[in-house]
Amino acid sequence: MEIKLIIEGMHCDACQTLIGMEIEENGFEDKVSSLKILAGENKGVLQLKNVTEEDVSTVKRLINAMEPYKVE
Amino acid sequence: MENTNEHGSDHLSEQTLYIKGMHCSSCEILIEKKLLKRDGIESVDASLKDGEVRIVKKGAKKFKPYELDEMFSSLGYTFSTTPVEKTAVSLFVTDKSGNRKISPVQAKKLFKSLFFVGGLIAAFFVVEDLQLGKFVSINSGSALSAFFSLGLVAGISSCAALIGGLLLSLIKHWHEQYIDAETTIQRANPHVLFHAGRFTSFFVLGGVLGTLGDAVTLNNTTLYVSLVIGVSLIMALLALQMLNISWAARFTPRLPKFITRVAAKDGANQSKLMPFVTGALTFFLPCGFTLIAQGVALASGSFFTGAMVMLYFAFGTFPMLMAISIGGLKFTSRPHLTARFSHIAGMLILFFALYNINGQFNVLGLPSLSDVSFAKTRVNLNTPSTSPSSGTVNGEQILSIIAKDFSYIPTSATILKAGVPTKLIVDDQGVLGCGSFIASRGLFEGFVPLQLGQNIIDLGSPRPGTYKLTCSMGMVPPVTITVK
Repeated sequence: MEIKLIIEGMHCDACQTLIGMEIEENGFEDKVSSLKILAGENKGVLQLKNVTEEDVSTVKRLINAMEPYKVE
Repeated sequence: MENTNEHGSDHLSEQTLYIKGMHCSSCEILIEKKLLKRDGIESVDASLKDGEVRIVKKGAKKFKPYELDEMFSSLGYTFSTTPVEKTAVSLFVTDKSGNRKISPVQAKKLFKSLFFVGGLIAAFFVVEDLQLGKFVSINSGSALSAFFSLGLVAGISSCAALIGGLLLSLIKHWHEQYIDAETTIQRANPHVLFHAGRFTSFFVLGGVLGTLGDAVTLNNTTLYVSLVIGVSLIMALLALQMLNISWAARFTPRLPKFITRVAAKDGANQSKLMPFVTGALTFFLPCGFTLIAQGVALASGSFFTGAMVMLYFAFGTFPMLMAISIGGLKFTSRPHLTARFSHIAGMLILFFALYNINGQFNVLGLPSLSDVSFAKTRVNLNTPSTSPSSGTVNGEQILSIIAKDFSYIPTSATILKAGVPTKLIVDDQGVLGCGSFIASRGLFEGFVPLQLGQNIIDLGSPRPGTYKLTCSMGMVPPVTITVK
């Protein structure tokens, strides 16, 4: 399945690179469609493809473990 | 037996580098994560508050700031060996309520540097006005010591702006490249290579000029103008880096690969040989005095004479260039002086770069700052003269100029009729420096070397337009010629 996750606290290029690195290092590099900052909203959007429910919860857990980001 | 690894030893060394561009805790974490991925890194501690990163790694070899600049170029972080606060030029600070205001401390520092740089620039113009070149008479029969004297004069006047400015602009880069050097002699290595490259090329290429003789010409205006503007733009970029302008720090000027590939086999040696190659290439920078010496070398018709003429000229420029090297080494070896050096040298180089580019605009006949400075003089000179050489002779217009000291003085009207055959008569009464090579893009091609006495240059039938008559470097105050 495909899914979009809104990441709170993602506001700059450093955040984007950091989150991207964390996801890739945990084996999801082929499953990231896009990772973008929502300008002026202190948020970002992570779009995943070909993922299972378990993958999604793993990604959420990885991001939530990083300060100061939050994903629901 | 001591256990060693690829980094030279098991010994751990700590290095602190200062970072510009960090703004949040993510920046800290990102820098730490990316650095920890590199081999040999034991620990990394980036601090937004202090604007620095402490790196503990195996071996004594330290990171050079430009290596990390390249690694983080896409993220906009720049690294330096001096605290960002001390090198920042920003006049503004943000107070507790978030308002930006002028920092009195920064303003005081900036005005102090500006005052010092203003003094140096004033001294530069005073030395130029002294026209020391008139004490050095050069021709093909001159003794080698005369070329040394010519080099001495060149080193403290117009050539200082080009070669001196170029050397000054390279010092910070070399300092960062040799950051892990333990002795002054090691740090002096790029300076030694630069001067060695300069001496070598002046000797060898001077000899080549002597051998080729009249088979080559030194009057390719477009090539020389492009060279000077290109070098000046690089100087300006390096000056902006020294002034800590962040966007400028992302660009690292490099020599074309076809040159460095020949000079070295691998990247490390490549960058270490760069000063030699750069020094050697200064032979092609058309400082007016260099052109005079090259002209004599050409006329010599002998490899040895041409080589020695150019070598002695290079020896003459050496004291001033060596003073710049020693000054640079001294300042950059003391961290508390490095920031001040960067400020002052950056401003000075920026001035030299703009001075050179302004001169080339004159050579190209384009509007320049010289038009403002000399507008008043030009108005007075535009009135027809009563000089016997002015006016029309046998259906030809005559434009008469006296070339003396460091100026061209019109003795006839500088407003000409279009489409009428015209001759430019230059009476060389002892013109100095680059003034010996007259240029006027659009009126005639290239640089014309002047001989003492009358020089006649055929201008053909000039087309309507406004032209500038100046020297090969554009540094002689231009005379504006209007063709209607």
